[in-house]
Amino acid sequence: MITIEKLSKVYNQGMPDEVRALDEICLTINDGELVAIVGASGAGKSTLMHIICGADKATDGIVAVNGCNISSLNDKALSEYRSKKVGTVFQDFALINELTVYENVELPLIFSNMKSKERKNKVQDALEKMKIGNLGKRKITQLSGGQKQRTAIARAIANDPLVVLADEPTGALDSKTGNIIFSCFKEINEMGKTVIIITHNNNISQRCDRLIQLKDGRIV
Amino acid sequence: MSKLKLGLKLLRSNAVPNIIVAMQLTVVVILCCNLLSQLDLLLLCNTKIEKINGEEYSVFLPYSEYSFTDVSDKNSFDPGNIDILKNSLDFSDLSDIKYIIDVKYTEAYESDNFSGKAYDVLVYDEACIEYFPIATKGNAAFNLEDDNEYIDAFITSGDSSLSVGDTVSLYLVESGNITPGKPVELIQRKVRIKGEIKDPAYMLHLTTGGNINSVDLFENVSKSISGLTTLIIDEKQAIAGNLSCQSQQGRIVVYDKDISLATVQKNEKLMASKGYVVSKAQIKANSDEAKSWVMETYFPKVCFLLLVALTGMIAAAIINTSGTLKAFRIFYICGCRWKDCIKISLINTAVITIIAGLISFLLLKISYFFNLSTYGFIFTSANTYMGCILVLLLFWIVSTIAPMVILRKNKP
Repeated sequence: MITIEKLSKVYNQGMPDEVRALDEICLTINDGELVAIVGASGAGKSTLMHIICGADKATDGIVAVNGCNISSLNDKALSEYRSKKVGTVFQDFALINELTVYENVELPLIFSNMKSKERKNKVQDALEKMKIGNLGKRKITQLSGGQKQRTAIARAIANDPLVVLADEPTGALDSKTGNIIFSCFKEINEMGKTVIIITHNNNISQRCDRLIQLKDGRIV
Repeated sequence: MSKLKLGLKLLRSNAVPNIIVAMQLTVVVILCCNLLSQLDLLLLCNTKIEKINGEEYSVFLPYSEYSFTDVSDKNSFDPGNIDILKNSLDFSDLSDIKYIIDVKYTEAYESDNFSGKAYDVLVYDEACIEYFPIATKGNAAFNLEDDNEYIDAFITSGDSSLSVGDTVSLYLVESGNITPGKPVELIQRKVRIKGEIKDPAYMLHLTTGGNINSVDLFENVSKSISGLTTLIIDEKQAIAGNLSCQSQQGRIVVYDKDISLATVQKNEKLMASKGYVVSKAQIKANSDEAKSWVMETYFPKVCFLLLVALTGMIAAAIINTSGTLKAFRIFYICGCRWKDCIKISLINTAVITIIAGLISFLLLKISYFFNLSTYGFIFTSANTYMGCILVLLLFWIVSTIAPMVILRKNKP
């Protein structure tokens, strides 16, 4: 369960160009929910996602994932949280072109100090789930958009996280491929994982269990 | 795959600028080595003459060299040698002399018909050994055993053809056989290898004329330079073995402690009538001048190239880091700590430096095959290697500043 209490994020606090990206958000997401977060540009969607995935810290408030207040975690604990507890998918895929598909998926397992043999099993498992088991040795530049995003999703689930976060995962894809990708998230959700998708796509948001709308840093 | 391997894969993505920087750095390290070589050689030779600098002495070098015969040709005889010999200096005409240091040499062969492997043989007498102590590997003493069966010899440490403890039967020039008009005879003797002289083996060599400095008093007899195995033997054993030894013809004339300046000047005038004379003070002054020349000639050039290479290295480091920022952000999202990304960046810079260092050291080793050491271009001693390592460290440290600044400024 994700519990968010009075979460605020302020950029350039105290300066003339101060921006209040999130304003005392309170939110609870239950285990196994498929949630869509929608809102106009600048509403604070990506900021919320960055804080939940541990990439950024809140200015104020509490973000608790399965009872653990991630706002109070130190650098080492936060990095462990990012590698083991949460998986993240981005619109631009966020893959490293110099590495193969296998090596990209392996990244969170490397940073969680997993042994080589165990890593191999988990990577293979993730690739099979995303139906790209035969693409392990391919370079990222040799993949289509859909294959790249499936690689990114495989990386996100490789370490069996509690939560999968996706920021506009179909934004750079055509509608057909976008539907395929959404069905991947559906399958992940059916495995019991909490999936949070930031999207502008009504077709996707309406197929989620729950819709959260943000406007000017607040939940509408 | 480990974090280190991840970083190395990222290095490959900017392969071209990294290769150029590594090459730049290699050139600078080799040029630094050249500068350090020149200075280190001067330092080594100055250290070698420290003991004799406790005495008052002059160095005499004849105008022209002579040899009795070419020992490889039994019937050879150069009549010109007789005239040179007649006109050479009679050292008994000098006054208040404590020692006359005279380095001798001879030759040795595997067979009695001058065929097979040839050896250079240096013959050191007591005065040579006293004033120019030989640096031996394993500190073997040059005080040789009183053994009539063997002639004890030292070889240079880089010579793998013989080892300590080996005995070899050689043919050397027999005493009494170096007379103009008479064919040379070789005599068989057993030689036992007593110890090794540390490479680079700079031994006393008194044939060069002119305004010499401390380096000119020595010659590198290491096998990699001369191409021949050099044996160093004691004159007493050579005489006991009935061997003929020829003088190198130059002399270091060591005076009595209480010699007057007037006597020194008288001696030097006499010597100057037959050859070059260089006083102790002049050798020191020439050595200091050589050191200054090396610094003035090489130092500005090396500094300039160092700056150019440093600038290139910093630029490459900035390109590398900026190019890998995206990858580092992905690492961060996947659970890497931002300061670990900084470590990966530092390791990448270190890898470029190490590759440049390895190529430099490889090229330095190869330089021996081209005998560049003969001309003092490269003199690879511990000091030279240490200096090059320090240059590489400096490069690494300076080139890590930019990546660290970039990474600290850019939040994940």
